Amino acid sequence: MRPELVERILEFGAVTGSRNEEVDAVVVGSGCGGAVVAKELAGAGWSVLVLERGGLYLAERGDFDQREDDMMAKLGAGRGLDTTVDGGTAVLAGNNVGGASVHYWADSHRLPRDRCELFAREHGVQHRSYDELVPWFERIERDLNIHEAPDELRNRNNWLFLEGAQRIGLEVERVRQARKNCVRSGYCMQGCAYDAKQSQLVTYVPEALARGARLFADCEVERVLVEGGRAVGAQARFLDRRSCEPSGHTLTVKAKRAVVVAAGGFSTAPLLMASGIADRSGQLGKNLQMNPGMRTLGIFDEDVVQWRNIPAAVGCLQHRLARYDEQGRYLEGGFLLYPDQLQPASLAACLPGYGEGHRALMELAPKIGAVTSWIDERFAGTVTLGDDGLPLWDFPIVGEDADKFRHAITLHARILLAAGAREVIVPDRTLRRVDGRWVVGARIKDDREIDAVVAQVDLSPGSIFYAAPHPAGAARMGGSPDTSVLNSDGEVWSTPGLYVADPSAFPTVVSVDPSESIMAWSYVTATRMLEKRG
Amino acid sequence: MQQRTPRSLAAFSRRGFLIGSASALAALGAGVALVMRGDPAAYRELVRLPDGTLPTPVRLSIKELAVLSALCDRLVPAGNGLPSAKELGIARRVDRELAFLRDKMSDDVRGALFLIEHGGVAHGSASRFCALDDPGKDARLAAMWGGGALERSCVAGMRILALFFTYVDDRTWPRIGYSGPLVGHRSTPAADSSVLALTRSAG
Ligand SMILES: Cc1cc2nc3c(=O)[nH]c(=O)nc-3n(C[C@H](O)[C@H](O)[C@H](O)COP(=O)(O)OP(=O)(O)OC[C@H]3O[C@@H](n4cnc5c(N)ncnc54)[C@H](O)[C@@H]3O)c2cc1C
Repeated sequence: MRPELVERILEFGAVTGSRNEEVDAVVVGSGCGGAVVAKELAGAGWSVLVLERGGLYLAERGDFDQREDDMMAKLGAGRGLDTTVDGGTAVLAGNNVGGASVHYWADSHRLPRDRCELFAREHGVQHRSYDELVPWFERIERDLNIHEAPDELRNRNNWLFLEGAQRIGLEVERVRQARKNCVRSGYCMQGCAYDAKQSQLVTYVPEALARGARLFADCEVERVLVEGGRAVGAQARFLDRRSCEPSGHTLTVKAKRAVVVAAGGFSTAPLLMASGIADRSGQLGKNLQMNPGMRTLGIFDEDVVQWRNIPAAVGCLQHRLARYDEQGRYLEGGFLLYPDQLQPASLAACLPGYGEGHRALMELAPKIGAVTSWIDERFAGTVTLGDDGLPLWDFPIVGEDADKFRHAITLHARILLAAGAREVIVPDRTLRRVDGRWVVGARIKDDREIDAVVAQVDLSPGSIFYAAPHPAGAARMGGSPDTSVLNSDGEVWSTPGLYVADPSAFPTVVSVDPSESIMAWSYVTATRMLEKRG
Repeated sequence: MQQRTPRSLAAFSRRGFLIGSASALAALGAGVALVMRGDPAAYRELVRLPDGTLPTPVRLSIKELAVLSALCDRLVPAGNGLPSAKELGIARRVDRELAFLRDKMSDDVRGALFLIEHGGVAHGSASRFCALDDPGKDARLAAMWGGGALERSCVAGMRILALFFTYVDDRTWPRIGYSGPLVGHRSTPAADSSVLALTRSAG
């Protein structure tokens, strides 16, 4: 980031006292949602202040050291260790300038037309049809250099995925990527040390700053301020990055035109709740979906080294939509198929079991390939505030959503075996003693074993370690204040001047990786805001 | 939003990564006062450092640190060139990491350690986890891992912490064929729980 733009960011070390600010708009969160709105409002001449709970990390300062522990602590909300209340699913979100895009994979998809139609038809969402979004998609694709991944971005795991999937008759496509001059290091989830991944940190955040916005890092908004039923500002506190505790200095922001909450799909609804925002629909904190995902591993006789080059240059999208029979019973699909990528310590956490059996698998780590899916779930959970005022995310994997995992695991196993894996491992809690040795996870060596093994896989929390990267729905948009939290402008029905610009607004998850959808919706929200309040 | 509440023993009164409930613990005969029984000196020996001193845990008690240490040794057993969890300082690292997390995590970890140490009655053994030999510990863990939701989530939560913090340590990388980061420098977070920070804080 250019030094003169970095100067527009206040960091914890420079905060010497409590402050008051008065601006046109305050934006909570600097991820895909917040950065777009900040940039658009600043571009229209508004004075904009972005408040970001996490720290500022920059490639040119050497902050991205590619170590999993260091980077998870810097970039992950809850230092990467938050989970749903049953402990079964890791809750993954950003906590840094640029938000989750700094540790994302950069897979870029447009919000599918069928999902836009569903949102309009069943939820009464307006101004966000596929055709209305196209100009924004095109702009995002230009700004983030989104393009199909060329062959050289495929690592061995990608090639094995491609070969295996094609051998069993699946259609594999190139996955579009937000990258420029990628050096294929493999450390996308640790934050790009080369500024090649086109995260918000290197795209829309600097653009917002260049247009005059200011940003306070290490600054956590505690509540939105409401007066006479209108949103008028935000109350925040500065954090000390060294202790992760409040520094003792506070910030009060008066916002003359708008308060925009873009704290991410896991955090926005709890912030609105903590602020006592009225919600006649009763939907605030409900409908929380998160695309829980897992991976299936394959042991190959060759080196796969899944942790180098990019995660998913190719993928299979043909099962994106679930299919049902005439009685509405689930038949198949409801997920994407991707080659997986994990650095070794995260791989260790996602391999099954523990002890000697696990250690034996880790010794084979370079030979382990993997296929992953997250599901486009039907059921939803909730987010509430715990006794300590912090969010509790409750999300069950039940009914047809469990069946989706079984179908996905079946395909993972078939792909891996067709690609030449000598053994497939489903990372559930299976733990057996065979010939005096511990064997962990459910094992498949032959296509004929797949159905029987997959039917027995224990999908319960703690057995398989799920991770949820795509929260949505907990402050959903819709056509009526009786059934939704936000109107189609992105404004909270009950509270004029209060906007939500992140996936909390989506009525459901979007069935593809959501960053481009989030940005496109945020463009619409910013435009509506400017039309109404500009 | 991030108010710190006084630490309490309420971990089991609401769900955490343990899926805990007061009734589940009561069924194990442990009551709700999560005070570890057993000889304090024996626990101290489990965590004594090579130079003979005792570590000063940040969030856990010495007893809890000792159970965590014993547990990590079985979750990630040394051997085949893999250093022991004690050598790697995994228990101390987890303890220090807890200081940077919401209090609920410390409560959950404490609850899990209590159940692992004293939960043998559910499997027909009154023996504490730390008092078992290695095969006994493995059998106890296998029983809990295959047991009910409460026990499984205790082992599952601790498993992830132990494995992650083991394999981020450079000393394990030669064993797993990982050549490490491509950039040639380290940049620890401001709130650092790494071995480097442990060494620094030890003086
Ligand atoms: C491992 C991983 C891989 C992914 N890969 C892809 C991918 O390949 N393609 C894709 O499209 N998507 C991907 N995603 C998802 C994508 O990164 C996110 O959906 C997107 O970045 C979310 O943007 P956001 O603005 O909604 O939220 P965030 O990026 O989470 O931004 C919200 C920001 O608000 C801040 N905040 C929260 N609360 C407060 C508060 N009270 N006060 C001040 N600030 C606050 C947070 O610190 C955060 O920085 C991935 C996600 C993960 C976790």
